[in-house]
Amino acid sequence: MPTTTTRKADHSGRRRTVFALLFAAVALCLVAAGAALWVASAPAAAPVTGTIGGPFRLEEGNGKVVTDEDFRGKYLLVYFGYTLCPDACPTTLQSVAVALGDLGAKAQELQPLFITVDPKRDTPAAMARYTAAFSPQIIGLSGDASDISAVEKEYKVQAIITKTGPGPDDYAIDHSSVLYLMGPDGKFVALLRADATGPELAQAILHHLS
Amino acid sequence: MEFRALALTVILAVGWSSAALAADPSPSGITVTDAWSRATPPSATTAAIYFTITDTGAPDSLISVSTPIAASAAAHQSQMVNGMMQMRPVDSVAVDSHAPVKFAPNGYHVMLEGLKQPLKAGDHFPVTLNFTHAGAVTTTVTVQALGAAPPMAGMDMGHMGHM
Repeated sequence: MPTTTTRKADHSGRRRTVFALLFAAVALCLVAAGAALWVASAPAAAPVTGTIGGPFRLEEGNGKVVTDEDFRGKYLLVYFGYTLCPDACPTTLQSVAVALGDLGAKAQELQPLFITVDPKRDTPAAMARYTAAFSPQIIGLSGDASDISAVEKEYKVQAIITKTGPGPDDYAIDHSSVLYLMGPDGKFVALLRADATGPELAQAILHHLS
Repeated sequence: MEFRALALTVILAVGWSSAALAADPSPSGITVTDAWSRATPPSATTAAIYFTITDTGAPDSLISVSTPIAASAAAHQSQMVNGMMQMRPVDSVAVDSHAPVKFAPNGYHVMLEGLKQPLKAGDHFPVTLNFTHAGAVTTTVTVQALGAAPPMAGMDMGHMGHM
């Protein structure tokens, strides 16, 4: 009996080693495949058809009206969302803030914008207060419903209201969640994943900065 | 035999320390740790809660959630569908002993609706998770600053002392 037990133990030990090796090999393949997919899918986070971006006229927290032309000469990192978004938006803005830190002096070439898809509830002042919680460099923008709808169209942003209760303000918004990198000439450069970590995002931005 | 004795000692030690570390040990083997949320904008009536569920016993399911600070609380899942971030309620979340289930940004979270007041950084509030078998497990949620990085597991409860 003791011999059998020992042999069993040996077998299971060896089997465990084989399994561990197999597991490691499979894990490596998965990581490699995942990395390849991630890289391949990063620029194509959403279908790129036609031009992305265009002129906009929106309002900053201090009441100042800004247009796309005010930002010529800088790369724009544009994200659409809303301040009452409990999960994706703060996560993305936090990553943007970390990326800005990682970019160091290079971050000066970049202007991150957070444009609301919820002009009904997000006043320009609310947007400014919100973005300030993440980084003083991020500018929050709102506007009237028609100005927001115009910029959403240009950026091919989808925003779909889902009711969460009976009240007029009881709703959440499913929305496109990608980061748009626009060039110093205002032209579209790339789509970047909004669910990337800060350091990943910094790398992706660096890749495109001249 | 020596090995078994050693193993037993290790198991006991680990068991003892994790019982001592766990925020909310329940007899069923479910523990909920590292619960956090973000401070909310002044007008917010919604918020998300994140935590880790560890199940050292039989498979179980999280079936409902409640907290005194909001009118409703429910498990939700954020999912990227064709570049759209969608957030949907989920009926239940299965947990078992294979791996802890992490509620984390851009994935599972508990969605609070009808917040009685906005959440401020440094606030604490209780949340009760109800499981099919384990029943109610209550833990304390720590509110982080809105722009703060998500806390690392085990870092925000002062559990790392003797590791």
